[in-house]
This record gives sequence, structure tokens and C-alpha cells, in this order.
Amino acid sequence: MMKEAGRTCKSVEIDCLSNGLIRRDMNGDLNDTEDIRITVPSFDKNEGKFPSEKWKTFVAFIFMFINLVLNLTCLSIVHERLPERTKYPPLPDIFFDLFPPSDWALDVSEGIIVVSVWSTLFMIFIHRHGFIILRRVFLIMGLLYFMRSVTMFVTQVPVASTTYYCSPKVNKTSAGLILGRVIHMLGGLGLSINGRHTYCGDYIYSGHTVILTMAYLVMHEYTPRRWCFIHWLMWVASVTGIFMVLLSRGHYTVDVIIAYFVTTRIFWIYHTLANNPILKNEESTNFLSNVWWFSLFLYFERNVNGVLPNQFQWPLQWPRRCFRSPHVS
Amino acid sequence: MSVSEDENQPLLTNGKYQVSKGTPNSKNINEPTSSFEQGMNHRENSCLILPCENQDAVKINLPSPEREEARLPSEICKTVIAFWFMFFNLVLNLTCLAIVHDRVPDRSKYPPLPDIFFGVFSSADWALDVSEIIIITSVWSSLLIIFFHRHRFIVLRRIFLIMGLLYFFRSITMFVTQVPVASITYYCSPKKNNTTPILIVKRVLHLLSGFGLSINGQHTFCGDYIYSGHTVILTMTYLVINEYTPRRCWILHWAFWCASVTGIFMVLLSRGHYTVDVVLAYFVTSRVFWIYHTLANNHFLKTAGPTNYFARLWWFHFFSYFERNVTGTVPRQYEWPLPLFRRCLRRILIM
Repeated sequence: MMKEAGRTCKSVEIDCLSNGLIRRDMNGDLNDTEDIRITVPSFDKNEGKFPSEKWKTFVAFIFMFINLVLNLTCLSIVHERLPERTKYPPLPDIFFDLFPPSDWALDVSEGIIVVSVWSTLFMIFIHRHGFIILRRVFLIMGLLYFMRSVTMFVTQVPVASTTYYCSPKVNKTSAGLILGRVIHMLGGLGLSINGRHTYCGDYIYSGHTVILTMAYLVMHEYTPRRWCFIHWLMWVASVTGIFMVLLSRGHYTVDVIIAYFVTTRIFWIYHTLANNPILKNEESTNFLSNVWWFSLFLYFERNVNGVLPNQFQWPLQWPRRCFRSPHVS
Repeated sequence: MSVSEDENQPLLTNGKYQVSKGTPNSKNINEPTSSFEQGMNHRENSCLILPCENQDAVKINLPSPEREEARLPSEICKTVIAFWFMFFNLVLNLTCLAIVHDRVPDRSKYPPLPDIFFGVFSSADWALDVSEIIIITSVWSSLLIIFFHRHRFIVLRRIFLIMGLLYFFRSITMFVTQVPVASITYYCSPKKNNTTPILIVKRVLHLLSGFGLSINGQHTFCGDYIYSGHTVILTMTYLVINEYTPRRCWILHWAFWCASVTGIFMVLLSRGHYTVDVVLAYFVTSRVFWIYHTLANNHFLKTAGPTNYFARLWWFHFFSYFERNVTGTVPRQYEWPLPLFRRCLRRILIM
């Protein structure tokens, strides 16, 4: 790869790779006494292509946390705006017509979510570049939570289930009340299984689907290709979890479809930007730089060069002696 | 590429350099092998070998010096296929609407859902006509501009394919869940107790004649809320004009932007859609448009690879078929499209 000539020498325009011309020479501008200086970047393999930048991972976590709190705040507010269950039965839905409801299915779905999330976190924990992956997961989840806050807040659909318990509304909403609800729900991490998610209205789009889809995408992306059994298992778990959410009438079908679409597109856009250096520039051919979070992306990814290799190592001091050196996939 | 031992150090020469055919281990070069100009005429890759002070050489591979021109074949046949793809999905859309009309929640039992926009602005029935007039004007203006574009068939093909995809996605979201009618004044045709395929076909033909607009009185079937087709069209016209007209026509871009925003506002004002329909429509339209054009304008994304995540899109093969012979960015050039009078009019080359 050609680089521009150094400033101390007579500048030589080195054209783009498709041209390969050195113009000045064609015009005979160079003479015998002038030097051509081409600075060649270091190709030292030991130089960090994938710096951990733990500080950035922490910032990404805060970003995600803020958007999670925003999500729960919106839920606390829209709970009061929810259409009356006595007036609004559940909306017509193609899945509901085909399958009768089952309340136990929500617990199954959330059990799958807990297992998937912990498995994914463990994989990230033993990944050599765990901090980079975690940063990416936090950022993408933060974006998804933020967009979910918007769709949840603008329009409220009726409760999809006739049996799910929704806390009574209060006539007068105050900031203190909202805060109390947010803290209450934070303790349950957004899951119903622990009895803390009793506020209704967070339908469009499905958070359960977001988590299940993300767990699969992350596992598929950051584990070796030959671990196809793990990939298959995660895929089955995600599909089953989503099916169970619908079976329990936890969400409408349109919530699930939109959640899948948004999650996959954001994930693929992010990783295409991250893994193709040319797309890290704002150019007219890079339409993906039009996304509103492009500057955020640049901040987090500008020092990461290249595709993350899938390498694993036990991160703790003990009992590292029992494990081999980093396994290169 | 081979590098000197002193990495990251500037390589100094005495100003002479030679070009030779790629010999990977070339080192001590004291006599020229071929002139630079001759090297330039090579069609195969040539190398730039720079002798250093210590007589070692650095070889830098140069690709063919011949500039590659963008290839932009019209492929009218593909444009026709793309049109039929879009038409098929439009019919699918209308078929779904004809079916879900009978599934829409009963208006007497289901008032409109709570919506943030509805809570702030009161409804205005006339606003829907304003919105649809803006749509008609925007669409015809866009088509006229594309008519004069030098690569109109490529642009049209892309629009047809993207619109076809958007109509298809909309068919799905519309079909799976039905929300109550957002307006209390909009006329919805009575439901039928017994829906037959013949009835569906009649409804589709009825809707086709109106192009999905209410302004001509043919759109009397309700239920196509998620996501907003009006927003899709308005967003697309702006994105297309912004992309395929010269950058210095900023007044035009600004006018289309204002028209789109106004049209979307009017749709909401008339309670033609819920706010979530509009938000989702904008998101889906803009992302599909940007993904498509990023794929089209970056050659390394046109083939499946480990860093090309968009190859996993279900429509990637459609994209490959339509775009595989188009290399490079479509330039913003305009011309008189008809043979008649072309001799009298200069070819306008606007960059």
C-alpha cells in the first residue's frame, strides 16, 4: 500500500490504487538530487490491533444502563395510558387464532432467556477480546432499548393477555411514583418470572425477542465456526423462547417481527461498519454513516482494527495453570 | 509487499526508480530494466522498486495503471423485472388489506388507541387530502426528474426493487396484527360475514384503481396501519431526490424534505395513522435504502464474505442479480431522453 510522501521531501502525489501513477514523474518534475520519501507503517504483529480499552466498555455499559432506565421510565408512564382492559379486549392476531394461550409458556421463555444470557456472558468472559465484545453488546443493546422507548411511548396497544396481572392504575402520576416503579422494575431486570414486572404497555417492540435474538447473534459471531452444535442449540433456544412468548400472549406477533427486524439490522450494520475499515469514513458511498449513532460507533471502534479473532483464555490467575495457552480458532 | 528491515522509517532514494515486472525477491537494482512509461503500458500488475541507500530495494506492487471506468449498463429487461416484482408485492399488499379489513376490531367497541400525537393535536379530516396531494406531487416530480437522468433505468430499477421489498414487509406487519381504526370519521366499507376469494379479488381491483390513495375515493378498506405506506412513499421520494440529483440543487432537496415532513405531519393530523406506524415506516424505509445503496456502491460488499453481514439478508440474491453488472457509483448526469430534438440540445453534464 502506498502512502503519501513525507513533508520534508518534494511531495509526490501517489494516486489511488486503481491508477498507480506518480504524476510528478510523468511531468519530469523530479530531478536527480531530490528524494522520494514514502512512510511505511509498522507491520509489527505484536502491536495492539485490538486494545481492550476497558474505560470505553464502562462508558458503553453506562450508555446501556441509561437507556434501560429510560425504557422502564417510559413503561411506568405508559402503564397509566394503557387502554382499559374492560373496554379493549386483545387485538386480533394471527398467532392467537392458531394457538390457544398458555400462561406457563412465559416462565419457559424467561427461563430460556436467563440461560441464554448467562451462557453468552460466560462465552464473553472467556473470550480473549471480551472487553471489546462486551462494549459492542452494551452499545447495541443501548440503541435497541432507546428505540424501544420511543415506539413504546408514542402509541399504546391493549394488553394482549386476558390473564396477565397488571398493577392497578393510579389517578395521579408523580415523579416520585414513576421513580419508585423504575426502581421496583430494575430489581427484576425486566422479567416477569421474579414477579416484579407488573406494569403493562411495553408491547411494540418485544424486548424478549431482542434479548433472544441478540444472544444468538453474539454467540454465532464470536465463537468458532466449527462450534456448529452450540450455534444450532442457541438458534433452537431463541426460536423456542420467542414461540413461548407468543404462546403466553406476552406479545403480539407484530411486536416480535419488528423486534427481530430491528435487532438483526442494527447488529449487521454495526458489525459491517466495524469489520470494514473503509466504512469507518463518512463518504458519499457510505450510506451507513447516516445512522444517527455513527459518531458513537466511531468513538468506540476507532482503535479496533480488523476482525476480532475468536480466541479464548481463562481470564483469572487461578486456576490458569490447568488450562492451555490461548486457543486460536 | 516486501518491506525494508527498518520498519516505520522513511525510505530514502536518490530520486531514481524503476519499474519492473513483479519479481518478488528483487534486491540490488543498478540498471534500469524498463522505463517508467513502458511500465505504465503494462496491462498486468507492475511494481515500483525503490533502491535504498544500502542497496536494498523496496518493492511496492502497483495494480494496473489503466483507470477502470464505471460500467453502468441500462439493462432495461432487469428494470422491467423489478417493476413486476414491485407490482406483485403491491398486489400482495392490497390482498392483505382486503383480508384484514374483515378482521379490524369493531369500531363501536374499540375507540382509537392512545397516541402521543393525538393527545397533542386535534384531528383534521382535510389534512389527509393535503398529504395525498403532496404525495402525488412528490412522486410525479421524482419520476420526471428520473426521466431526465442519464441512467434512468438503473435508478428506476433500484426504486422498484426497494419499493417491492417495503411493500412485502408491510404486507407481513399488516397481516399479523390488526389495530383499531385511528380515525373516528374515516369511512370504512362494511365488513362481510363471508369472505370469498372472488370478493378479495374484487376488492384488490377496486383498490388498484386508486393506487392506495384515499383522495380518489377508492381506498375504503381499513386495517393497513402498521406500517404507514404514506410515510414510506414520502421518505422514499426525498431519499431518491437527495441521492440522484446534484448536490448543488440544495433548494430542491430542501423543498422535498419540507414536503415529506409536511405530508407525514398531515397524515398524523388526519388520524390516517398512529405515530408508531410513522416511526416504524421511516426506520424501515431509511435502513433498507441505505443498506441497498451501501451494497451497490461498495464493490467489496457485492459478494458474500465473512465481513459482509448483509449477505445474510434474504433479498441479497435479488440485489446481486440486479446490480452485478453495475460497477461504480451512478453519476448525477442528465440528458434529453428522447431521440427527437437530442441533436438540438446539448448533453447536459451536471456533476
